[in-house]
Amino acid sequence: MSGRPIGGTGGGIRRIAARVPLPEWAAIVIAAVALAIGPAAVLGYGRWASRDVITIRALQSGYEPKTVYLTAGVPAHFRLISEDVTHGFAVDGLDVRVDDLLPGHAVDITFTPREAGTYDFTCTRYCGTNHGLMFGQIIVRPTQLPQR
Amino acid sequence: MSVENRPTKAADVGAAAPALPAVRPEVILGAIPLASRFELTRISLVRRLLRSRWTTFLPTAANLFLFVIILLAGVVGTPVGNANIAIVFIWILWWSALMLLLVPFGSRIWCGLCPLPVLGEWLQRRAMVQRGGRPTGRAWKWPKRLRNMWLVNGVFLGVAVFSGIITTRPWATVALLGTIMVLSTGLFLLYERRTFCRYLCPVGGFLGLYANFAALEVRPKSAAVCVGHKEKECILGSAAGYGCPWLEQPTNLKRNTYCGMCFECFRTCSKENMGLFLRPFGTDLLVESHRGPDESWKAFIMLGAAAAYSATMMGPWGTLKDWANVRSFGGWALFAGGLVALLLVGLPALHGAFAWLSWRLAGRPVPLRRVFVNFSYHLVPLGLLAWIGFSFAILLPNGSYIPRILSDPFGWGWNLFGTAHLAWTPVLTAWLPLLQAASLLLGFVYSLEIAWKIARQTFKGSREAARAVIPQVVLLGGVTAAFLWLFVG
Ligand SMILES: [Cu+2]
Repeated sequence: MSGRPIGGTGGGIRRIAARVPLPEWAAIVIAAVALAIGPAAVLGYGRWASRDVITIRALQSGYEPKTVYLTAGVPAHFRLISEDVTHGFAVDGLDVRVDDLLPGHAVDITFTPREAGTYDFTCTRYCGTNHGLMFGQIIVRPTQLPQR
Repeated sequence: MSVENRPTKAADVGAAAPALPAVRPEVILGAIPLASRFELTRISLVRRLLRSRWTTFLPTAANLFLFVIILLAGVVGTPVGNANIAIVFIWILWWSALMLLLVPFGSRIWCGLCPLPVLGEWLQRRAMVQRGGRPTGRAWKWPKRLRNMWLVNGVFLGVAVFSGIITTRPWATVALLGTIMVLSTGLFLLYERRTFCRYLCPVGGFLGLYANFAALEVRPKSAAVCVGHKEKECILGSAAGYGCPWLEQPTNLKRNTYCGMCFECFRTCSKENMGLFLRPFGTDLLVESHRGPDESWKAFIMLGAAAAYSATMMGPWGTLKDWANVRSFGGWALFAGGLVALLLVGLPALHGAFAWLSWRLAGRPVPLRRVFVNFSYHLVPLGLLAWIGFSFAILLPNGSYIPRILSDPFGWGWNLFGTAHLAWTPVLTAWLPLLQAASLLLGFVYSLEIAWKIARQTFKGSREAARAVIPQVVLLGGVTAAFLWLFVG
């Protein structure tokens, strides 16, 4: 089983495949898991596990995204992440305020907007010359109730 | 300085003086005989493991998986270093593991598990776990003039001047690792076997030199068996495995420098004559053959780099930190120029001055060049233990990032294993100065021991050796004091 040439010149894929011994097939599968399937599974699982989380990134150049859409009466899960320095996050008109948004420490918050409308959010920490640019909007749409 | 054909010079270097029975049998630290060995391959499980090709494949594949995650994290993950697996796993976990465990206890075991060259090696062999047939690629031989550590020294320096960026920005770490992987894959297709790992890998050089200190070795069990065995399967390969991928002659292995712990020779040797041995630390530093100035400079570079990184990362000098982190081009140029000057010229000149003193005090019985080269090898124990002290200072305060990063490798707020919200907890940091001082002291004592043994090797008489070692004691004491001041002062 050992010492046999693997691959080769002539012949189709089937002929090459027939010449690849079983342990080598196992190795190919394991390598495929290591190189692609495994990492894809990690990415997929992580994204799936946080599927209803709205991630807001705080950078010295502003928030990302700058506009977030919510529905009145539906709980919203926010994940705040600073990518550079300490920022803050406060929403005017909603009871949401985070002052210590440290770089590398995600802050998860959950709140339920009661009334439709437009709410501004800003940074509560002076974070550099672009601090004034750190704002965004949460647009809360009315709950879609069946018309009576 | 030419370093070609160094092996042949072994014969003309004076061996330990036979007229002095007082130092025989050679013992390390007055307790452990230098020749004492424990053969791990006497354990049948170890023997079976080393003969299996999966023993190399599976850990490498696992590392390859981690490596792909790290690449991804560098590209799409958070730019915040300590929240990104690329920084935490490479510069906190891997680098500390190399210094604290893998190199001292496993020699170049990392090279056997390294994921960076495996794509190239698999392509070259047209096989992953089985013994492949006809190899692909050109299988060129590396130019003779480059068969030494000089190029590796240069590549290491080229990386070291950017250390401030590489060790803090995930994208830079990943750019470096990605470059190594692409470059190595290309070189595997052009040059024979593991030419890349041996002569170009920036990590390989230091692993090679410091592996000589390691407590683990691969050696033939009996020289007589090898002499009588004409097939030389370990060099040429057999149906069971490849000829030494590291271009070594396993039959004639004298030091760990270029043994990459791939265990191919355990698979090829039909006489079962290869052994894995535990041995006293520092054994190969006393092997006189194969020494050369390329390795001396590697020793200076590693010792100096330990000092420079300690100063920039832990020292109280904010300006130096800014320079290293490339806050401004001018500052960085100063840092880079200073670092290169220190490592290539400053330390070698300092060492040269003390080697000259030793040479003069001993009455100049041997060429100065030999004194210079031989006396650079006792910088290795102190260098490694300085790196160990440095690693404690990285690992103890930052180690708690590791369980956190496992749950959130990209810094996206994930919690895969429920460990993402563990608070940052420095571990045993109160003991840090003590640990560092103890490491340095151990390195100092071990270096003194090796220095004395090298002096006895280099100079025929014990009086000459005793006079020659005095400047070395002063130098080692000075270097230890300097590190002590950097670490705890
Ligand atoms: Cu801000």
